[in-house]
Amino acid sequence: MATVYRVLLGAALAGLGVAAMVRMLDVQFREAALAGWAVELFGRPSRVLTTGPTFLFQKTPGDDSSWAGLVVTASCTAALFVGGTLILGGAFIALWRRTSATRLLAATVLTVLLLVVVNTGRMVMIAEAASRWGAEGFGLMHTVVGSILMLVTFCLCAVLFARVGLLRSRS
Amino acid sequence: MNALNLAATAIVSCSLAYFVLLMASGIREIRRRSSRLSAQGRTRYGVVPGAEQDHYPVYFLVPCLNEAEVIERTVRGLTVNRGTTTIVVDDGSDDETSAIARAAGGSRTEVLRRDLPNARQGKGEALNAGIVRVRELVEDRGEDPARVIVVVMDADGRLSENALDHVLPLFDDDDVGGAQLQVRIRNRNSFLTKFQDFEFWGVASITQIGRSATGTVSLGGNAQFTRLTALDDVGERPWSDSLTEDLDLALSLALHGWRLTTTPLASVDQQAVEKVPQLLRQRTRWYQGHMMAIKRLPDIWRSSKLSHVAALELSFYCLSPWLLTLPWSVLFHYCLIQLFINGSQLLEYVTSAGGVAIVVLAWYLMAFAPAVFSGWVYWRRDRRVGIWRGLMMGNYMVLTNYISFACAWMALARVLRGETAWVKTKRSTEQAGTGPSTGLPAIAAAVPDVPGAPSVPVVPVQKVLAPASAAGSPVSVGAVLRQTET
Repeated sequence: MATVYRVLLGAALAGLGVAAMVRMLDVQFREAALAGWAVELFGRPSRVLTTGPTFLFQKTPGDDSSWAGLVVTASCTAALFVGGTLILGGAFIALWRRTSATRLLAATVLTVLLLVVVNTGRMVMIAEAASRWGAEGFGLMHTVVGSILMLVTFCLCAVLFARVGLLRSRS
Repeated sequence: MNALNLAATAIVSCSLAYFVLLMASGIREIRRRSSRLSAQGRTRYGVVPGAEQDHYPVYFLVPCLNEAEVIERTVRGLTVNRGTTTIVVDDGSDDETSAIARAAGGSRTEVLRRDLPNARQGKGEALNAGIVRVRELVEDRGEDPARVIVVVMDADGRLSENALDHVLPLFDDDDVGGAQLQVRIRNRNSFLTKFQDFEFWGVASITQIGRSATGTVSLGGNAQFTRLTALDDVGERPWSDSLTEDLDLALSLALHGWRLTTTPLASVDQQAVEKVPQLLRQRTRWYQGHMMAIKRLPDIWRSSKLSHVAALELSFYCLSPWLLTLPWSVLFHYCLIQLFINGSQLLEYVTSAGGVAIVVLAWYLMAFAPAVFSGWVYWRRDRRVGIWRGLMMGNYMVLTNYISFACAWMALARVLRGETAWVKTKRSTEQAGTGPSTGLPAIAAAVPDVPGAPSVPVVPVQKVLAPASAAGSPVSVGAVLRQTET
C-alpha cells in the first residue's frame, strides 16, 4: 500500500512539474505579478500587464513619466527549474525508499520556494538597479550579479534538496 | 533550447555543488586532523623506514607481470618498513621478475609464482591468489585477522616517509575497513605528466580526503590498505574481475558496513603515463570500469548498513560518468556556440571601460572559479609549483577535458559492444635521478591503476568550467531578462 501511495504521489508531483513546463506562459504571468508585488514592498508603485508577462514600475516613485518595465521571458522564468525540481522530487518519492515521502515532499517544496523567491528577488534587484543607475546598472545587475546569484542558488537548491530530503534517518 | 539550458544548468549546478562540498569537506578534514594542505608537499618516498610495526601485522601484496626492470627497487622500498611481510605475486612473467624479487627481498619477502594457464587472468585474480597466502601466513603465525592489514602496492609505488605510522592508527577505529593513500606523480617532467599530477595532487587528493567524512573514500590499486577481516567479509576472493577491481572492492566493503578513509599525512608516488595514446587507453579503461559500477546501485540503495549520506555520495559517484561526463561533452559545445552567438549581449549595456572590465572578470571567475580554486590549492599543496603555474593548470582543464570526453565515449562504445579485454599498459623507463620530488634515483615503473581515478572529482570540475559563460548557458540564466521601456 505504501508503495502504491508513493508511486501515485511521485507521479502526481512529476505531472505537476510537466504542467509547469508545458504551461510556462501561465507561470510567467504569475511571476510577473509576484515581482510587481515585491517591487512595491520597496516603495515603488507597480503595475502588471495583462497582455504579456510584464511588470511595470516607477523609476522615480510618484513621477508618472518614469514608468519602466521588465518582461519575464521564457529564458528568465523559473518555470523550467521549478518543473524540473518537481519531476526530480516525484522520481525520488517513487524510487528512493531510504527516506519518507513526507520528507522528500518537504524537500521538493522548499527547493521550489527557494527558486521562486530568489528569482523574484533577482527581478526586484534588476528593477532597482535600472531605476538607480540606468542602463549600465541594469546591465551589470542583469548579466553579472543576477547570473552569479542564480548559479549560487542552483547549487544551494541541490544541497538543500539533498540535506532535507535525502540525508535524514529513515522514518 | 530551453530544455538544453535546463539540462546544462542542472549538470553545472550539481557538479559545482558536489565539487564545493567535497573540497570544503576535504579542507575541513585536513584542519580537523591538525594538518595543512602542504603537509606532504615535500615528503620523500620509498627510503625512510618507519617505526617497528608490531601492533598491526602488515602484508604488502605486489602483483607483477614482467616487472624485472622495477621490482628490485620496489621490493627494497617496501622492506625498509620493519616488521612487515612482502608477497610478490608473479603472474606468469616471461622475464626475471621472480628471481630479482627473491634476491631483493629478505627473510620477510615471498615470491608467489603463478603459471599459465592460471596466470594472466587479470589483476584481481593475482590479488586473490596472494590473499590466500596471506591467510595461511596469518594462521601459521597466530595473528589476529582483525589486526592484520593487507596493502596492495603497484610495481612503481613508493610510500612516503613514515607512511605506516600515519595510516595504521586509522585502523584503531574498528569500523574502518580500508584506507587509501593520496597519489603523487613522480615523473613530472612534461605537460602531460604535470597535468596528471595536478589532477591527482591538486584536486583528487582533497576530494578524497573530503570523502572520508562519509566513509566512502575510493580505493585505488596502489597503496590500498585493507583490514583482513574486512576482506574476509567480502568473500574468499575479495577482488572481482572488474576492469576497476579496486573501485569494486571499495563498493563491496562499503556495502558490508566498513568505513573507507584516508589521511593527509601519508601518500604514495607513482609514474604517470607519458604519451597521449597511453593516457587515452588508461582513462578509457577507468571510465569503462566506472560506468559498469552502475550495476551496484540497487545494492547501494537497498543497503541497511550504509548511512544515507554514504549511499547518496556513492550513488552520485557511480552515476557521474552517465549523468555528468557524457551529457556535458555535448552540452559544453552547445554552451560554447551560444557564447559565440550571444556573447556580445553581455556587454550590451556597459558603457564604461571599468564596467567592461568588471563584466569580463566576473564572467571569467564565474566560469572558471573551480579551476582557479583548484590551481590555488595545487600551489598550496606544493609551493614549488608556483602560483601562476598552478592557476594555469586549472585553466588548461578546458582543453584537457577533451581527454575525458573522448575516453567516456570510447568506454561507452566498449560497454555497448561488450568488450572487456585490456592489454596491460606498457611501462616507460625512468632515468636515474629524475624523481622531481625526492632527488633520489628513480625507478623504471609500470603504469598502474591509479586509485579510483575516474572517481576523480575532476569530473565535476570540468563540468563547471565550461559553461564558460556562454550567454544563454546555465550560468547566464540571469542574462535573458529583456527591458521594455513604456
